Amino acid sequence: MIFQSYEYISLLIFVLVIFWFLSRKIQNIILLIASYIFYGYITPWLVFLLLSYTLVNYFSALKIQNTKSQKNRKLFFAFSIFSGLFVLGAFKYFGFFIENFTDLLAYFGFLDSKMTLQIFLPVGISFYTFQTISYVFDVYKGKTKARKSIIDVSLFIGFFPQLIAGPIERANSLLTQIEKQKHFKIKNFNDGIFLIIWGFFKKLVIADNVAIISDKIFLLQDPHFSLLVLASLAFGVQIFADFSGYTDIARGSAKLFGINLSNNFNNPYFSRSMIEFWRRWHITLSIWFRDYVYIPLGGSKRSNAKTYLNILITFILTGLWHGAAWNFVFWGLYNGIIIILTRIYLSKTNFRINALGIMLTFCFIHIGWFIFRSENFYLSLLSSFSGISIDFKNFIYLFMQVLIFSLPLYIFGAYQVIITKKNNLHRLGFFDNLYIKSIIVMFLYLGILILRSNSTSDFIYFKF
Amino acid sequence: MLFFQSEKNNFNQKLYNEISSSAPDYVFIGNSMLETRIDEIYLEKLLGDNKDVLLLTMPGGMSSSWYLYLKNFVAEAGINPDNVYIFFRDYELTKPLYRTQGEYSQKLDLLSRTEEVKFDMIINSNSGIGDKLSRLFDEIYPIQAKNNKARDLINRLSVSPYIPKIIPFTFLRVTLGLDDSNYIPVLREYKNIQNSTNDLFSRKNFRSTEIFDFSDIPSEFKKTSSFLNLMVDISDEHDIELTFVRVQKRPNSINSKISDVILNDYIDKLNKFLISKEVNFIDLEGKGFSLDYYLDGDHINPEYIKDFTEYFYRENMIYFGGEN
Repeated sequence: MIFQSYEYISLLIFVLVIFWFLSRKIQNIILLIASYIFYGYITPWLVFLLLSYTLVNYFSALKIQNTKSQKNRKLFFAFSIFSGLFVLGAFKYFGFFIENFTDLLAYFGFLDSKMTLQIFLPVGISFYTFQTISYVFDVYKGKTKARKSIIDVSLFIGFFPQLIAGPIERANSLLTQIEKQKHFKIKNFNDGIFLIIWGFFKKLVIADNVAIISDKIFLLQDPHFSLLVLASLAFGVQIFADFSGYTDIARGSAKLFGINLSNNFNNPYFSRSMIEFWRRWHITLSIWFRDYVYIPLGGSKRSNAKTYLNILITFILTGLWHGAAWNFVFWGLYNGIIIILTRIYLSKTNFRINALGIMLTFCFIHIGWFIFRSENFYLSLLSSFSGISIDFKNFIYLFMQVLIFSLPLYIFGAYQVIITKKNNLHRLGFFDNLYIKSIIVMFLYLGILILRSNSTSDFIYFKF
Repeated sequence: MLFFQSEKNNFNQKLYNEISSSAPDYVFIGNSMLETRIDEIYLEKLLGDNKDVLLLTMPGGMSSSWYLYLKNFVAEAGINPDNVYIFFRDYELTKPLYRTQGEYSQKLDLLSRTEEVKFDMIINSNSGIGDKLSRLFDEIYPIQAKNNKARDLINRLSVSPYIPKIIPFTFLRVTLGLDDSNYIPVLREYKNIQNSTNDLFSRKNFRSTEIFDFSDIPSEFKKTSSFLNLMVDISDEHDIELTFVRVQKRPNSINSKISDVILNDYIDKLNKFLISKEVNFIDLEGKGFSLDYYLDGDHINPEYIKDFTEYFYRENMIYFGGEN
C-alpha cells in the first residue's frame, strides 16, 4: 500500500477510530495487523519475508541475551546479522554482481555476451534490514535488552508508517514507546495532521511537479550544460520534497497513535559544510552508518590516514545502500572525498563565512545529486558542451517553474532555521499556534487538490 | 473563479438539437488522435455528392466519452449515418475509468443525460475503494477540475521575468475568468516560448531508455466490464454500422519487447471479439506515415492532416463505406 492512496487513508482512519478505545496489548496487536495488511496489500508474500526477518531476529536477540558462552553469543549474533545481509544481498545486489562479473568475463573473451538478471526487490527491505541489525547489535553490545513479547518486537520491525522508507528507528527509541501505555493528546493529534498534510503537499505538489522537468532533462540524448544544471537543481528539490514528504507523513501517522518517530531532516540545504549536511540529511541513516560501520571500523580514533579510509569505506557503503549501480558507488565516493577535504580545510584554518559556506555546500550537494540521478553521468557531462542548445527564454521558463513549486519548501526551511537559531530549540514558532496551523492545513489541502501533478509516481526512496 | 466555484454541467442540449436536425453520412468519434488526423471539410470534399461528415471529439476523452457520444448524440438523436468510426489507441477501449474524474468529469457531464444507468454500472464495477472515495469527494466538490487553471497560472508566471506584461493579465484572467482576447500579441509570445520548450522535449531528443510502467498494462481483456461492450450493444440495437479504428503509434515510439507482445496479444483478442460481434475493425498500426508526419507523441502534425484524411479515405472509407 502506498501513502498517496485512498486505501491508506481509509486504513489509517479505520485503525485510528478503534485504536484509542483499546488496552495497550490489543492496541499493539491492531497496529501489527494493520502493518501486515499495509505491507502485503499489493504483494502478499512479502508478509512472509517480513515475518521470517522478525522471527530470526527475535529468537537471535533472546539467545544472545540468555547465552552465557561468549562464543555462542557471537555465533547467534553472526547468524542474525549475516542472514539479514544475505537476504538483502540476494534481492538487491546479486543481479548487479552477476552483471558485472559476466561483463568482466565477456571482456576477457570467456563469454559472448553479458547476463542481466531482473530480481524483484521487496519494497522497504533495506530499511527494515538495517533496523533489525541495529536491534540485534544493540542487544549484543548490551545497549538494550532483548524483548520477550513477540508482538512488540514484530511491531518494532514492521510498524507501518515507517516500514517502507524509514526513519530507521532504534530499539531504545521506538520499542520503548511501543511497550508503554499510550495516552491520547490533542497536541499530538494536531501535529500529526499538520505533518501528514504538509508531507502530502511536498510529495504531490512539489516533488511530482518538479520531477516532470528533471526526469525529462535526464532522458535527453544530448542535453546542454545549462539544462544539466537545471536538472540537478530540480532533482535536488524533487528528492528532498519526496523523501522528507514521506518522512513527514510517516511521522504524522505515527503521532496519531501517540508514537514519536525520529526526524530525518533538519533543513539540509542550509548546511554550511558537507559534514553538516550529513548531520541534517537522512539523519537516521547517517547515525546508523556512524554507529554500526564507522565507529566499529575505528572511527577517528587512529591516524588521519586510517580515519580518511574509514570515511571513504562508510560513504561508499552508504552509496551502495541506495542502490546496486555504479552511479551510487561514485556518489558515495564523491561525498567521502568532499568530507575528507572539508575536514582537512577545517583543521587548517578558522576562516569561515556562513553564507559562503551555505552556497558552496549547496553546489557540492547538487553536483552529488547529478551523479546520483544520472545513470551515465560521465556520458551526459561529455556530451553537455556540444548538445542541444537552450536559449535564455527556455531556461528562465523552466527555472521559474522549479522555483515557484519549491518556494514553500525554502521559505518554510528558512523560517525554521531562523526560529531554531533564535530560540535554540526545534520549534515552529508561530506555526505552533493551533489556529494558525489549522488555517495552513486548510490552504495546504486546497493546494494539493488544485496543484497536484497528474503524473504521480512512487516515492523515490521506495526503491532503495 | 479559481477556487470557490462548485459546478455540475448540464447535458449539451444545443449540440444534441443541432445533430438531430442534421443528417451526417459519416460520424467520427474520438479525441486528439482523431482531431489531428481527420479534416471533416476536406473529407466532405473528397467524398463528394454532398456527403456530410460529423466529428464528435472531446480532447483527452477516452472510452467513457465515446460511449456517451455514441449513445446520446448518435443513437438517440436518430441520425442513422452510413458508418460511425471510433478512433482509439492501445488499451483505451477497455480502460473504463481512465480520465473520468476532475476536469474530465465536468466534460462528461455535458454528454450525459440525468440518468446514465449503464455508464454508472461500468464505472462502479471497475472502481476499487480508492476510486469510489475519490469519486465521492469529486462529486461533493469538484475542485480537481481547477487543476488546469492553476497550472495555467503557474505557466504564465514562469514566463513573467521575460514577459512582465503577462502578470496583470494572468491574475485577472485566471482568477476572475476574464477573456484572453484583449492581449493576443502578449499571449502569442508566451505560446512561442511554450512551443520552443515543447520542441526541446520532443521525442526526437530522447535517448532510448524510456520509463515504462508495467502496472499500466491490463492483465486481461476485459470486454464485458468496459464501455466497449456497451458500444457494441448500441450498434446492434440501433443497427449502426460501427468501425473501431486503431491509430498508429509514433514510428519511433520505444516500448519494451514484452509490452509489444502483450499489446499485440490484446489487439488480436480485440479483433476476434469484434469479428464475433460483426463489428468492423481497422488496424492502422505501422501503416502509411513516417516520423516526419508527426508532431508530438502520436499526434499528426496539423500541416499533414489533409494527407492523413486522404489516406484514410482512400484506404479505408471506399471499402467500408461501400458506395464510393
